Amino acid sequence: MLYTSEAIESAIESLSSLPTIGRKTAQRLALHLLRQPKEDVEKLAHALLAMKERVLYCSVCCNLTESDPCPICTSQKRNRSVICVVEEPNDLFAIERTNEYFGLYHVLHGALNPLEGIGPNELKLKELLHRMGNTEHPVDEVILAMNPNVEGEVTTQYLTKLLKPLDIKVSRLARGIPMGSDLEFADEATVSRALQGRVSL
Amino acid sequence: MRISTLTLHMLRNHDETFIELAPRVNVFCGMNGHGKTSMLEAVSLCALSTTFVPCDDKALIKRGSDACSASVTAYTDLQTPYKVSVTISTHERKLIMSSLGKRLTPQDIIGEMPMVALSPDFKAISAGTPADRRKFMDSILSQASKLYMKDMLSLKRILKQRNTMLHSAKNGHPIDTALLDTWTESLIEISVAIVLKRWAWMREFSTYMRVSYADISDGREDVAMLYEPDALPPELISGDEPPSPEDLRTAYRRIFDSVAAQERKRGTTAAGPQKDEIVFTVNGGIARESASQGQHKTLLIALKTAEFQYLKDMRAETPLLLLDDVFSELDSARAGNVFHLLASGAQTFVTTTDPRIYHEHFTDAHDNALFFVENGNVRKAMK
Ligand SMILES: [Zn+2]
Repeated sequence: MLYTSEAIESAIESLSSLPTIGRKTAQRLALHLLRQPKEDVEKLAHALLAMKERVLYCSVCCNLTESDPCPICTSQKRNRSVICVVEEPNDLFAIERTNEYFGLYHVLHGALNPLEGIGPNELKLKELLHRMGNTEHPVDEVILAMNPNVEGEVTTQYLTKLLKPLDIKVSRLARGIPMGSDLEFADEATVSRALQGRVSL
Repeated sequence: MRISTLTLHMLRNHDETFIELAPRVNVFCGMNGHGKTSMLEAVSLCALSTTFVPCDDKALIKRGSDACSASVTAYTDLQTPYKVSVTISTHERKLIMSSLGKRLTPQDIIGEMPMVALSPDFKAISAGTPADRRKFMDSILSQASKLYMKDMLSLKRILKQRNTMLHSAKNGHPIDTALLDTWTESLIEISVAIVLKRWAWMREFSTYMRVSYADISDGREDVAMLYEPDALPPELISGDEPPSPEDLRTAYRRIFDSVAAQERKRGTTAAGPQKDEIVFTVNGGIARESASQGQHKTLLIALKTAEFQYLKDMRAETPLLLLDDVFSELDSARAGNVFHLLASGAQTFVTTTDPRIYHEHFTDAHDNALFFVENGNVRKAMK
């Protein structure tokens, strides 16, 4: 459907270029915004611009931050000898929410994915290796916390190959039955992985 | 498993069809092209998330419509209610809902309502290409094990990623050898897992198959089924003990080393379980090359009988049985073997152009039903 306004049409086009937003959803969003009070739309536009202007990559861990280095990297309370490597900032938040991890992070901004043209150079890998040479705060352990899919697995293996020769302990997250769910309701693949990764007591 | 109601919406030439099914044999009678096979395809859609007829699922959508759906209400052998509905759209992903949840993937429902289909098209299993035989094996293993399905999805994904790298090498782009090696290692790991599962399956399944073939041929013919994994040395898998994962890994590493140059030149993966083969032999001869038409038919019935028994044992659930136009192709002796399979008590869906099949074999009015299908309309025959 073509609208009689060029402004609507171009808003829809911009919105539909966003990931997971199809043309239909873009139309709905555009019409929704059009019906909102002007102040609300201005607020959104300003928020987007402010985000773009203020947010940058932390020069140490590559997480998104407004101050460089980021609050985690500068915190005196954190253990500087452990680095947890994650694919996306969202994964970092997931681990932070546990309040159980007190080391540092490194955000790769993706996983190795030839189909999408993502190779080692597209990830924040050089930055990670650079941190391994830090003599002031030597790194003892790297925890690889990739997603449990084909791309995450290959990224884990590739990083292991790079890190092992540097004489650093490399570990990965355990895979198993989610807490709070009954064993009988877990799918066969999860149960089988949990069996393979069993721990002795 | 028993389906109590079946609903079709804009599927092939059906607009809106809703029927209550008989607990045992349901015969759909009608002329070709009037929509009797669609009833079986609807069952298949709910059981496997895809039609058993070799075609694109989008071909199920009625012309002029942009989506079709099939849904069933059913009961397991233990009388637990189970519902599932599958919608195919022209522009969107398959929408699958069941008693297990909304927005499901095919893996979530495959195997929940086990199903075995027999159609003359399936002669390709013994007479057709290796791909036909792999499809047969994968379909059984997928219904029997979610883990196998997961491994197969990983294999597909790894091949796609690895082939992307090889393709760019073919086009002269520089390639990160360490990265390609990592994908190769990943491919080897998943290949080992799949070969071990296929090996174990072949062991077990071939026993089922020999028993059912001997039943049908009165023990006069000797039949065997062999698993031939692509490129692996035969001695590695021919023993009575399962091959060791470490031996398989070593063998695959050697194979991928030896095809490395060729793979980069052709831009695609040269070996692996995606090329595995199954060989059927009858009286020592390879079935694909030397079996007669009759032997192929007997083999097909034996394989499907074995599939039925195997799935029944694995899932602890009686599979649904779909017989698409099988009686027109079979002589009375082989048709008798199919009736033998029917005696297992499974709920069965039969299509035929000839209502005599029903009147001669399935007149038990309480458990069986005859439906006439005409121009996408379904009418239950009066008793
Ligand atoms: Zn930082």
